[in-house]
Amino acid sequence: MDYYLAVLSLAAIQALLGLSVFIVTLTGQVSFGQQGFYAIGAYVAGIATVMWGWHVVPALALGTLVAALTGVVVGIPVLRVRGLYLAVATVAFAEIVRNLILNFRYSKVVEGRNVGALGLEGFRGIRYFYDRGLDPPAVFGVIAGTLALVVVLVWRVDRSRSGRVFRAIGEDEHAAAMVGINVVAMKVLAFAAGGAVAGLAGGLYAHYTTFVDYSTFRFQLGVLAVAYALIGGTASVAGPLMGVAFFTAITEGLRPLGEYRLFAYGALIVIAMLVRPFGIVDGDLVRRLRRWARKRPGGRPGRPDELEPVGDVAG
Amino acid sequence: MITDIVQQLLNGVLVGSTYALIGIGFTLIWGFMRRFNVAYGATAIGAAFLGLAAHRAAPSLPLVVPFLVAMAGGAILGYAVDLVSFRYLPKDYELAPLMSTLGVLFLVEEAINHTTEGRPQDFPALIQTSLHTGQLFGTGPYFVRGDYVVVFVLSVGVVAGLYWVLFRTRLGLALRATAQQPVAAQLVGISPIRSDAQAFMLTGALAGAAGMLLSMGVGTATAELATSYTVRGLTVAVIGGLGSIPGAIVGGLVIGVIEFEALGFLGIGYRDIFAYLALFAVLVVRPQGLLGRRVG
Repeated sequence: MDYYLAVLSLAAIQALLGLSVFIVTLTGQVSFGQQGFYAIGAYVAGIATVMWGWHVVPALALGTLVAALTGVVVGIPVLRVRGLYLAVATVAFAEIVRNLILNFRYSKVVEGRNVGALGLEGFRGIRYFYDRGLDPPAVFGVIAGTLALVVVLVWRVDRSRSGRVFRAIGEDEHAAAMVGINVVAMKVLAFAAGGAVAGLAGGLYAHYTTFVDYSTFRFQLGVLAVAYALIGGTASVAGPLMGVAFFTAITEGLRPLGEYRLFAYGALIVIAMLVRPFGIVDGDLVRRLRRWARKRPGGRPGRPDELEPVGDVAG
Repeated sequence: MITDIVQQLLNGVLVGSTYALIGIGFTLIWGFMRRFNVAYGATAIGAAFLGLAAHRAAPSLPLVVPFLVAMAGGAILGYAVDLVSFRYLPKDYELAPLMSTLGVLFLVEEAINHTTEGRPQDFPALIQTSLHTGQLFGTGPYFVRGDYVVVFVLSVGVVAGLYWVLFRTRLGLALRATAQQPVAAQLVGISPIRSDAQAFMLTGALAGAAGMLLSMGVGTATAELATSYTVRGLTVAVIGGLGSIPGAIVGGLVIGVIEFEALGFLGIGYRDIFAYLALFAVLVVRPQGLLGRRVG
C-alpha cells in the first residue's frame, strides 16, 4: 500500500512539472530548464522550514514566489530568442542553477545536527511533514490536493481570455502583435507562471523525500518534464496529466521485466513520437471530444470557436 | 600567474579540439535540416563503445582498426537516428524530432549502462605517456601532455577529412546543395531522403571518431558521457554560430579554454558554470553566435 502511495505521490509531483512546461508551451515556446525552477523552489522552501522554522505553507509559497521572480528576471533576456534557441538557453539557465547549488553553503546546527544546504553534500533533513507525525496517506493528500488546485487553476486560465491570448501568441506571434497583444510581456508572464508551478513542485518534492542535492536537478529531469507535456499533448490541460499517467502506468506495468524496464523511458518517447507526434491528447482529439459532448442530449451549445469547420477551410 | 594562464590556455586549446569535433556534428545537422539531433552525444559514445568492443575482441590489431569500427558504427547509428527520429515525423513541427532524439539519447545511455553494468570502462591509451610516467613535452615553464597533443593532431586530421568530403566530392556537393536550396536540389535530381540519410551517416562517422578520440584521450568512458557530450556539443555549436563549421571549431576552443581557466583558478566546482554563463550570454546578446549568420 505504501508503495503505491509513493508511486502516486511522485507521479503527482511529476504532473506539476509537466503542467509547468505546459503553461510555457501555450505561448508556442518550450523550456528544458524547469528543473532549475524546481531546484530553486526546493531549496528556498527547505531553508524556510528547516532553518527559519517556518510553517510549510508559507515556506512553499515563498519557494513558488522566488521561482516566479526568477522566471521574470531570466525570462526578460532569454525570451528574445525562440524555438530551439530558447530550448538551449533554458538548459543553460538550469545548469547554471545546478552549478550554483554545488557551491552553495548555508547551514546551521539544529538539535546537534548540521542542517541546511551543504554544497556538494546536498540538503538533508527536510523533515517537516514527518516530524509533525504525518503518515504517507496524509502527505499524499497534501501533494494531491496541491495538484488538484493547480490543475483547476491552469484549466481556468487556459479557457479564459488570458489563455486565448497565450494561444494566439503560440499560433502566430506577428499576428498577435498586430492585434495589439504585448507579446513580450505575455511570454514573460507565461514563463514566470511556469516557473512558479515548477518551484511549487520542487518545494513539495524536497519535503516529500527530505533530501535533495545537485544531482536531483539533472538535465534528464527537465527532459522528462517536457516529455510529459509533448507526449501527453499540449492541446488541453489533460495532455500533461495523460503524459504522466502514461509514463507511470507503463514503467510500473513493466516492473516484471526487471532492469530492462529502464530501457522503457527512451523507447517509449521514440515510439510515442512516431505514433502520435502531436501527443496522445492532440488538438484533433480535443475537438472531437468537445463536439461529442455537445451532441449528447442536454449538452450545452458550442462557443463560436468550437463550431465544426465548413469543408476543408480550417485545419 | 601569467605562466598559469598560458599553461591552462594550452590545455584548454588541446582538449577544446575534441569539443569542436562534437560541436561540428550539431552544426552540420543544423545546417542540413535546421534541427537539433540531440542523440548525437549518444551516437559518439555508443560508437566509441563499439570500437572498444572491437579492440577487446582483437587486442593485437593496431588501434586504427577499432577507430574505423567506431566510425562505421557511428554511421550506422546515425542512419538509425534518421529512420526513427526524423524521416517519418512531421516536417513542420520542430519539437517532435527534438523529443524523439532525446528518447534515443536515453535509450543508448541505458543500453550502455546495461552492458557495462554502470561501471566506467578503460580505453586503450593513444601513446604511452601520461602525467604519472612524467613523459611530457615542454619548453621553458610550460608543458603539454603527449596524449593531448596526439588527440589534437588527430582532431585536426578528422576535420581536414570532413572538409575534403564536403568540398571535394560529389557527395559533399549534393549535401551542400540540399542544405542551401532543398527544392532546387530536388529539381536537379538529388533525392532529399537520400541526402538526409547521407548527412546522418557522415555526421555519425564523425561522431564515432570524436567519441573514440575523447574516450582514448581521457582513458575511460561511462554511459553518462552521452548526455554531457550532447550538452557540450550544443553549447559549442550555439556559441560558434549554428551552421558554421569554423564557428564550431572556435566555439570548441573557447569552451575548452574557459573550462581550464576556471578549473585552474577557481577549482572543479566552477569548471562548468562559466561555460554555461558564456552560452547564456551569447544567446541573449548575439543569438547567431560568434561566426554564424543572422537568424531570421
